[in-house]
Amino acid sequence: MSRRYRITHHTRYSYDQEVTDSYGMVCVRPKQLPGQEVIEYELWTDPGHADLAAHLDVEANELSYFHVTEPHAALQVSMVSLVEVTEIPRDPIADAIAWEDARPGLCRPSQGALATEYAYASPLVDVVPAARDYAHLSFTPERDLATAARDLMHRIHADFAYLPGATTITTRVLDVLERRQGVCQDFAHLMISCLRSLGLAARYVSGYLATDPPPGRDRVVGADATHAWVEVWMPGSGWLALDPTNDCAVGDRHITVAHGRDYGDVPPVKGVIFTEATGSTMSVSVDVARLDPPGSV
Amino acid sequence: MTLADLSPVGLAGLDHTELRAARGLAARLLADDGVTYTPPPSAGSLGSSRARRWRLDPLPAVIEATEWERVERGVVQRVELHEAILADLYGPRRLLSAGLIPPELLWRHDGHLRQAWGAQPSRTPRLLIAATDLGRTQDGQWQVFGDRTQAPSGIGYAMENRRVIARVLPEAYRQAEPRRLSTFFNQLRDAVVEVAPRAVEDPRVVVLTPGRHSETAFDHAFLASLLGFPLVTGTDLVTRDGRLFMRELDKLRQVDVLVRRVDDTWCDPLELRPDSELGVPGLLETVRRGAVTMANSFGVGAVESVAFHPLLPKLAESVLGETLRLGSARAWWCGEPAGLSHALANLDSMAIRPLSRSEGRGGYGPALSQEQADQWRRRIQADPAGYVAQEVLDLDLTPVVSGSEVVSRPMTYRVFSLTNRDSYTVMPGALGMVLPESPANSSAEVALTKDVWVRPSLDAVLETERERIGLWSEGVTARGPSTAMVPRALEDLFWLGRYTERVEDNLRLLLALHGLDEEFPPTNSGPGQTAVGVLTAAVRHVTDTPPVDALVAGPGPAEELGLLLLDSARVGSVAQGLEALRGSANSVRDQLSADVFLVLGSVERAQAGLAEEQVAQQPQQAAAQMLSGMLALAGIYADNMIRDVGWQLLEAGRALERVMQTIMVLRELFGPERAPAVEYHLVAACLIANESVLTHRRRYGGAQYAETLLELLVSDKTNPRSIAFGIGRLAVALTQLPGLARTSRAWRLVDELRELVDQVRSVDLTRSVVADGDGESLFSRARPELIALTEQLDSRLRALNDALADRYFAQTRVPQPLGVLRIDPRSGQVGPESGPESGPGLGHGAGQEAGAQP
Repeated sequence: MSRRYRITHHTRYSYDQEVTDSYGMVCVRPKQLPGQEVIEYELWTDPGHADLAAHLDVEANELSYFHVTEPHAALQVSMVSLVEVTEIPRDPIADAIAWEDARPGLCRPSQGALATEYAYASPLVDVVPAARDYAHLSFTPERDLATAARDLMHRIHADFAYLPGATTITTRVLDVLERRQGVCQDFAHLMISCLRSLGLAARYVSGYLATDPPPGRDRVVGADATHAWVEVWMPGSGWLALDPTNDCAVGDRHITVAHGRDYGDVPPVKGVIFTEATGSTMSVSVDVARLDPPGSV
Repeated sequence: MTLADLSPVGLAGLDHTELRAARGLAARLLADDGVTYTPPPSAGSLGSSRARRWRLDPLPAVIEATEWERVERGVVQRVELHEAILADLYGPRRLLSAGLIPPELLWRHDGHLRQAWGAQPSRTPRLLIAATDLGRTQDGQWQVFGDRTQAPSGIGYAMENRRVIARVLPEAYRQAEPRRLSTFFNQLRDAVVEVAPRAVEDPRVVVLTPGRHSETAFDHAFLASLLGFPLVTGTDLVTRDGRLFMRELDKLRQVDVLVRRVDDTWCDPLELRPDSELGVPGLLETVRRGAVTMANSFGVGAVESVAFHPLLPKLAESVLGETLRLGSARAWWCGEPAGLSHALANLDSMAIRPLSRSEGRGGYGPALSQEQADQWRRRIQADPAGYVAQEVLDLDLTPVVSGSEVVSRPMTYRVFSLTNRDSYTVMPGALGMVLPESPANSSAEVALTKDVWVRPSLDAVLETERERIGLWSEGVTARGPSTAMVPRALEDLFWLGRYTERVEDNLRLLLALHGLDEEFPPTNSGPGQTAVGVLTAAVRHVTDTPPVDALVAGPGPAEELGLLLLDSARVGSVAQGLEALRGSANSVRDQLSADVFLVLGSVERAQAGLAEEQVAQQPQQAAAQMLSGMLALAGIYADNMIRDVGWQLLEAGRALERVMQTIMVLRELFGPERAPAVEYHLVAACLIANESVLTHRRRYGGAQYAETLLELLVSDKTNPRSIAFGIGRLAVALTQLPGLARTSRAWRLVDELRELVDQVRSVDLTRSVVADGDGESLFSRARPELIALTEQLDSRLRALNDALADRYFAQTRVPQPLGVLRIDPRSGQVGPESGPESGPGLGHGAGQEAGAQP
């Protein structure tokens, strides 16, 4: 069964003084993938951009460069997209592989060489012995990769408290391990670190998550947010996506935007400004609204 | 090689006197050209280090034609191979999937730039200029030990070395007929223009430098002037509509090719290091859109890794289908078990090189103590894949002049090549570098360099003949004016004016102090000696020099004078002013006559002569020599420079500085209460310091009073040393500046300055206030109106400086992060990212801020 979503995403920056120039790089367009069809997509800024252009990076993520030259005290970057997601069942036989055999550095180069980019430490993901120790409890010898990875995901979900505001985007893996708390990005970085510490390739996924309102309540528009999860490389059957924040396999409620080594490769919006302003605030509103696709029941 | 090997070029017979003379002449010519190198600050030290003299051995290294041909072919092949490897790494990456390059080498090397993938249009060479570091071993083999691809430096130095040696050894040069370097620069210019993406008649090319505090600032500026392209910093450039522009006064001019001397990660704060102030936000995007070509391209540092060296023979076979012609020094990547054990076992004969530049320069095995070696072993074992061990080459020795002797030292060669379309050209020569005797602390030293002569082959004779036509001497034909009035250049010219004036005025003041001190030695305790004390304090105040503890006790002003001249570490010293002056001059080298550097060289020699003697010895002679140099400089500005906007700013800078200096001196000497007998001596000294003794005598006879002095130095519009005259000079310069409305802030300030001076009557200024006490105005008086005037003038002059800076100079536009989303799926809370880390100490204008407080 497939599901249709209308995603709206606004990021607003306000400053205490005028900004003369804003340059930005935006990575919010849902990716065209098997099982994920992008039907509509629009990106704009307010005030309007003097320049806007998109390109694909090495992972085929779409990045949009913008330049706002109109002086402004507030800048809003907005995106709306219509996406259809279909869950593609995985092949359990192909997934049944001992984790030791899934280390890309030990596979044939023709198979594993490119995946190795995700098997080493990256700017925001340290690979530390403590992560390996933590991972080893799930990755017992010759256990199959999918089972072990799911077990690791369960344990992270069970052992770590979801606590917004406890960490920042520069929080390191070791801090998360010690404090036992964080948000989705921290859990993704931690799980990636665990997997990489074993020689496995793991990448960061930036995307959106459709949330269900509490029973009996209406869905609150704008209450959703950008989300992050993890993919682990499996030779032969491709990447397996897992969401440690919600302790679930990635299915038809996840909308994938971009893949990177860590958050730093694919932040939704980043940029530089020229201003005398010393104070700024930022607010984000994301809404993932489910639409019934035509013909569905 | 020994001195005997130089007999074919007639150098074997040089005797001690000739060697010594040659060495001295080389050093002198380098000083005349203002050639410097700034060693990077040593680890742990704060701030930037000082520019040092470039060092050149007078004996060239000579390479025979047949031998050079082998080097040339090998270098071309290597660059071609690198180009092909880069095209693959930033494209299909087949070399990784084919197992020819261990992927970890790439992912872990910080020269690899993820953002550069797909950013380069095909068919545009990535390595327009490449440098290959070679050594010639004792058995005559040439081996590569390093590749410089991102922003290779040294090409300007190599040309400078040649120009100097051709003058030091003219006979040998004629006899040896080394192949000329100038042709290479012409080819380089053509190659750079060739890669312009737009089909325009005359593409605009600029050279991007981190600024004059960078390690090889001279090299950047000299290369820019050799090629005839403007030298710019990041603040001179801006991106609009996906294109790159250069700010020139009020216009934006599109840039087609950027020859960059800034490393990748500092080039674009939007996509790379967000804390960089050396780059241009959006630069990578303009490259991606094909609107500008960068030479060399983003990401080319990926092949700089020494860990690639052992892979090259195989890569040459599979990528080019050829045998690798030029070997590399043997290297072992410790990421492989065999490499690790070999490296650990043979550390004492290896150079240890971290895979990432951010890990530092590495270690030199033969120079390590047992303890240091063990530390390295532990570091390597903790992260084997992060290190490469490279065999230390058994280098051939070359004769080097040391004193008046010849000694043998090992040397290396940096060879440069260029790519134009599909053809490669190697510069017929090299930057030779003599290895220091103790390699351990080599990074803090300026290496001794050598010119490298390549002897003409039969084939090259024709070429040489062609080169001779119209090119009798080494030199590159000028390509018309390259003058670009970018904000950075205007700022440098303005500060060149200010520093020139400051050094001159400070020298005059010091000489006046010295004269007074000689007249009234410390044994003499009378008004004269009191005046010496007042003047000394005034000098300290004017130069903003903190008192020297050691001097408080005994030694007189003469010693202090020597120190002030020499010690560039002292804030406000003449030496520091000179250093800043040289820095400004160097970065507008393409707009100044070579005579400027000649004069600066002579000033430095006077200073150096003083340094070699005892400090107390005859400093006034050195000061007088330095002063005459400064006068020569003023003469060059007046007689030999085009009156363009840059000159007007230089003139404005000089006028502004002179007025500020005069104000400070007058205020310090004549503001506070003084006994008339003391004031009498101060008037005399002040007249000397302002070159106004004759004028004063002619106008007022022999009498010397503060009243007449103030009239002459404040309001007399016919005296070039007066404040009124200086303000008039400022006004004239302002009328010539483009785009400065009569209503602008700068003009309003000049008008106010004029009014202030016009209202002055010297009688008022000298009006004294009877201080408390015995009521005898003879013994105690102060001049509040003079003090008030100087304060009003001073604040307006500083404001004028800022107004000109706002209007014409590079704006320190510090990019700030837009704020990175704190993603948070449940709460939706967000907060801005924490601020960026501090920069590399290369920030724009760091030295000029210090100069803003005279």
